Amino acid sequence: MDIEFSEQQSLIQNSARNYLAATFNAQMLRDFRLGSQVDAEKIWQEMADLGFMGIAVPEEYDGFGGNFADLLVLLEEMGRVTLPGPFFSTVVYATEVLKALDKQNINSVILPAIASGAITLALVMGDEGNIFDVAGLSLTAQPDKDGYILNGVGQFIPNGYESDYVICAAHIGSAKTQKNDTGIFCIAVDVPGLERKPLNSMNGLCVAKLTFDNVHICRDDLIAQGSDTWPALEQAMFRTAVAKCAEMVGACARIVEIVVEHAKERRQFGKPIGSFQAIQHHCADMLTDLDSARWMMYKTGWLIDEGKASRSDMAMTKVWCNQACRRILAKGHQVMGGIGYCEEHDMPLFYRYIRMAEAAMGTSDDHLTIVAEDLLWETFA
Amino acid sequence: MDFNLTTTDAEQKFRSELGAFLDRELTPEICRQHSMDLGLGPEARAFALKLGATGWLGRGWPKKYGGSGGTVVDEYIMVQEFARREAIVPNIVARFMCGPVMLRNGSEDMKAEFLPRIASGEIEFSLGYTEPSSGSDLASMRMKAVDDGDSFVISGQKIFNTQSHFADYHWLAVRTNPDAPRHHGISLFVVDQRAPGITIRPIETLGGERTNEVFYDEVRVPKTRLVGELNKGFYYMAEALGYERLMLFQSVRLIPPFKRLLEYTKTTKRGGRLLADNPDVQRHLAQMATEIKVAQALEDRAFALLKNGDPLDHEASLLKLFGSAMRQRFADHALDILGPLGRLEEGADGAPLGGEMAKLAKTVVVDTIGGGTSEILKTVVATRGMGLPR
Repeated sequence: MDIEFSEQQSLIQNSARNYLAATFNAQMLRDFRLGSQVDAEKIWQEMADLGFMGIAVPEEYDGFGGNFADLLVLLEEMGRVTLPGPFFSTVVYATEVLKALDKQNINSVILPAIASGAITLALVMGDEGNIFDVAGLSLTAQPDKDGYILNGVGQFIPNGYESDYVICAAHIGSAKTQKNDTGIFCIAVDVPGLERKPLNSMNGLCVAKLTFDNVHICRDDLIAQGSDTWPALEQAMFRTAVAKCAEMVGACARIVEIVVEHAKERRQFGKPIGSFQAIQHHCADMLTDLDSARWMMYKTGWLIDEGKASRSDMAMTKVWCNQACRRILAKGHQVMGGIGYCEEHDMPLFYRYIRMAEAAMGTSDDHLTIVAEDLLWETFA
Repeated sequence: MDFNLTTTDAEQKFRSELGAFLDRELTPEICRQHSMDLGLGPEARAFALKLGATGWLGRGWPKKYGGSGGTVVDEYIMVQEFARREAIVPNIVARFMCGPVMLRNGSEDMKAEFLPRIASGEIEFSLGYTEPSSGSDLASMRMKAVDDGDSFVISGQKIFNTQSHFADYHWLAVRTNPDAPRHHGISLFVVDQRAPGITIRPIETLGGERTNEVFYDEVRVPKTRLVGELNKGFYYMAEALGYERLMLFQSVRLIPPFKRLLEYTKTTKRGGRLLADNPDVQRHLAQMATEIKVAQALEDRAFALLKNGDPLDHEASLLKLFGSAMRQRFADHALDILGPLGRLEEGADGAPLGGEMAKLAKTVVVDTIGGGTSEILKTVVATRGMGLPR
């Protein structure tokens, strides 16, 4: 047993931490939240040049062929700066889906474009962000003489407004319950009938509502269909949920640093507040939650790389990260006091970021339901 | 990054051989005698000797002290194999608390006298730390040893010395220099628990375990029974803590009771439907399972540090903080699932799962108190782990 980072992982961590710390500051992050695109393209290209986009793309598709844990290391660093933009939806979510579907003709075109930073993607899966229920897919695809007609509304779509392409899951035909009629489409966003509307969320304009009104797409846009589509997709979504945990852990690690620094410097009653037990115990609780979330996340990542992660392992990870990060936020705010409530401080950046992340790739309720289902039908080991 | 516990063939082999031995030899009666702290009956004593005879109890210790080679991984395997069977390594205080401190700090004579008998399963120790007026503030202890030629003469009182009524030796911390700063005037001794002048009085507890008050009235202890150096006792106690906390809290111990509870919900109806079909019950179960897995990940991390040779400092406190609170939540969830009948105790007609969750709920009360209260541990994490000012 050696749970230290590999040399490769340490390199990823250092390069990402240095670049991201030098690139982002709080004011920029606030501007991005409000829709600023200043330097966005330049930063995106720099990240691609550093190899961030290709980290989990297989070598045969011009990526670095890193394993899942490598990706988690990078995402933890991104969480530390509450990285905005289409990285997660493109490099994690879409890439995981494409890798899981494993269609060589598609992957040989799209994955190299992802790895080089040439394109960004968004995904439309289930209603209101529910990604784990095949009956809840947002779209239907009616077969047509030379393709399909897509209808429906994709709600709460991460980076749905800025992306170049959209990967959509849709029920082919009209019946809404059959798993084997799931089709996956990849379409360019300029197709007629697709309306994209940015939504103002707790963390700004990072999600969108996509309305498909009789969108005609050609047969070639269907990239996968059939009975093995949904299981493959499901696997990708659970992995992506674990990846989301890495971002959350990174954000919370930074919160703990900020709070401890404050507790050492801020003086009341003639002493640093960090010398008071009430404050110390909040801090210890935060570290306990952080460590538990972090090691649960990495252990699950390792299990994924070993091919041993069950659905429950991944769901439990998101459950715990959601719960632990929520407590870290609350205690962090409590120690920071009034200044942490001001928008000029970093705390609100983290608050907004975590509140969105806990709802992304499955809420605690979604995942607890999955865990219970597996517990009651399978053996807990 | 690798979370595999066993990586070598020798470790794998040890695990499977020990597992087979335990499946064969470990009876419910032996487990009961261990966990109740009621005292080792003849069955538990015989089992300890049998395990000792295999050489496995001394796994991880040098051969010259009765050990059988191996590494800290083997010790951890041993702890886990017992825990997953809801059992406790026999003579655990001697094996995992006193023994390792002796091994690192004891005189040659002391090591030669005691370690082989610990490894053989022959002797057990009882911890003598707490006093009525020195609980969390352990360094304030007042029980005193007075230098008198070849021996020390000890008088005073200890409390919460859980195994004293059946242990062979007392692992006793006393003040040997009343003039030194508090932490620098305490020494550790190995005292024959049956020595003249010692009186042991039982204390019954909420969870049903027995603990004791131990009174010393001019008990004479030879100087050869001093552990390590004079006045360093407090540091020896602290040194062993990280190791102890990791070895004692094994969340895998909760898996068998969890499986029984799970099975109960799948086979028991309330209000015309299976408990397992009730979404509230499902939620409790999912949360319990999640927290057991999280605890295991934290234990893995602490063990990886230990295996690397990194001393466990605040990480051990953090682990105990998490594990103790988690066990209390586990019991709360269980009682919520079982409802009113869950409060029925062992032997009561209709007690679900033989009343085990009612019992568990009582015993976990002390988890956040004994072995360092959560408040003390949080202060340790904040000051030593996070650098906050004292």
